[in-house]
Amino acid sequence: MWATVSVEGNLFHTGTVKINLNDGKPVIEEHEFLFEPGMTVKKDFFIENQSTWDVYYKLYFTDVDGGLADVLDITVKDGDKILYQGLAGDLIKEKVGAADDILKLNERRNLTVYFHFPEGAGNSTQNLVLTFSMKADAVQTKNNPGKLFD
Amino acid sequence: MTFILRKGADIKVKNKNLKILIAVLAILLAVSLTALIGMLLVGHFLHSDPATVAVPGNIITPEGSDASSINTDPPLTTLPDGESNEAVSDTAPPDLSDITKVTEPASNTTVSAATETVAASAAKASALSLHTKQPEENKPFQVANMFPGDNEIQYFRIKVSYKGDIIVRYHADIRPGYEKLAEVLKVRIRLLGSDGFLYDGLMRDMPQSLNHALYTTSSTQSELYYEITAYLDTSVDNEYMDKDLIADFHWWVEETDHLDSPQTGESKLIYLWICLAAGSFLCLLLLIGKRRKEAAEEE
Repeated sequence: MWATVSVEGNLFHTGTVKINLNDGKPVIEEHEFLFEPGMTVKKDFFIENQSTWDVYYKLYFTDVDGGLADVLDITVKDGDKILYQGLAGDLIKEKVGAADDILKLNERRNLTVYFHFPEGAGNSTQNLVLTFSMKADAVQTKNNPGKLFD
Repeated sequence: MTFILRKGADIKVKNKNLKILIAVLAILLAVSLTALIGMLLVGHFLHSDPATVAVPGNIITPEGSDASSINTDPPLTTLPDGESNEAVSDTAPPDLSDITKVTEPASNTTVSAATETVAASAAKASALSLHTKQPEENKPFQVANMFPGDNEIQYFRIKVSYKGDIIVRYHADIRPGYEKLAEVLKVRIRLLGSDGFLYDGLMRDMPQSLNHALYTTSSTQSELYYEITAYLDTSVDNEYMDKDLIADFHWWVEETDHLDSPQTGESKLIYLWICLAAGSFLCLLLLIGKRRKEAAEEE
């Protein structure tokens, strides 16, 4: 028999990063609007931090398709603050950064996305469509001063 | 007249003897009380003195009960690379000599400043024990909400009484069912006061024992102060979210012949001084009472 001492039951548990983007519902439905020059469509959605820590987040578009991708000006706002702005093709994951502010633990933030059809768009933009998926990435703020997502 | 004179002389001699006795007892009482107070003060300052080590922050100290335990069984083991420890525990307890044959070489350190030698007269509960000087010590990790880049530190103080060569061994056993987080959870272990680390790597890949050799020719108590840091690299990705790992930490000495039996030198001394002080005090009371009684009778 040996002399032994023990400290048992050392527990380590990792945290979670999880966000809810508008309950998975699309911000704009098919055939919901027929865009015309000068028209702006405003749609509200939310993002909620369901993680176990504060997070940085970024919103971006994927699966962008259709001729309107190069026509519609898209703006995402948090109140009066512009988070993202540009054509759909400019708002892809590789081109956008993290939002400036932190999404706190359990915080739900209501955001707004604007789709604007420029007045100067010519006839060539008639009968075009835009399809996209809006996504959000989040990463914990802890040990992440550089807001790195990968 | 003669009789009366003789009686008076006897009384004077008696009184003188009594005075001397009272003085001796008073001195004895003062000495024993001084010794007692001195021992208590020395003990207090010796035990509260953090010596050369500090206990920094960043320690998770659960409110719950201390899960530490002391036993004489050999530690269970988890072999690297997912090997089962069943064979080991089925065939070898309590002899773990077979285990060492199938594992990588143990990490060793030699006796050095890492050991904090304690006065040989210090009391000890057993030859190998967890010794808590600070409330944060010897508590199991209770780390929740770990994220990549996190590190948590916990301190464990091991006291060992020995004479001759011994090796204090350490190993962290990951319980079955927690293999996933074990793929990424790392530990860095060092003995405070010594250079370098005993181990720095995945907890599951820890050598079968992290050894620290001690040697003395006389009966000695030493304290080994382990700083254990559990951490996650920043590269740990999403598949390790919301995962648990439970591990049991074991320290053991195989050279039990070189372990000293528990000593109670300090306790015995304290009791001796207490008895002496109490005895002196009682005798003093009795003598003073007797003297007063005799004085009253004389009047």
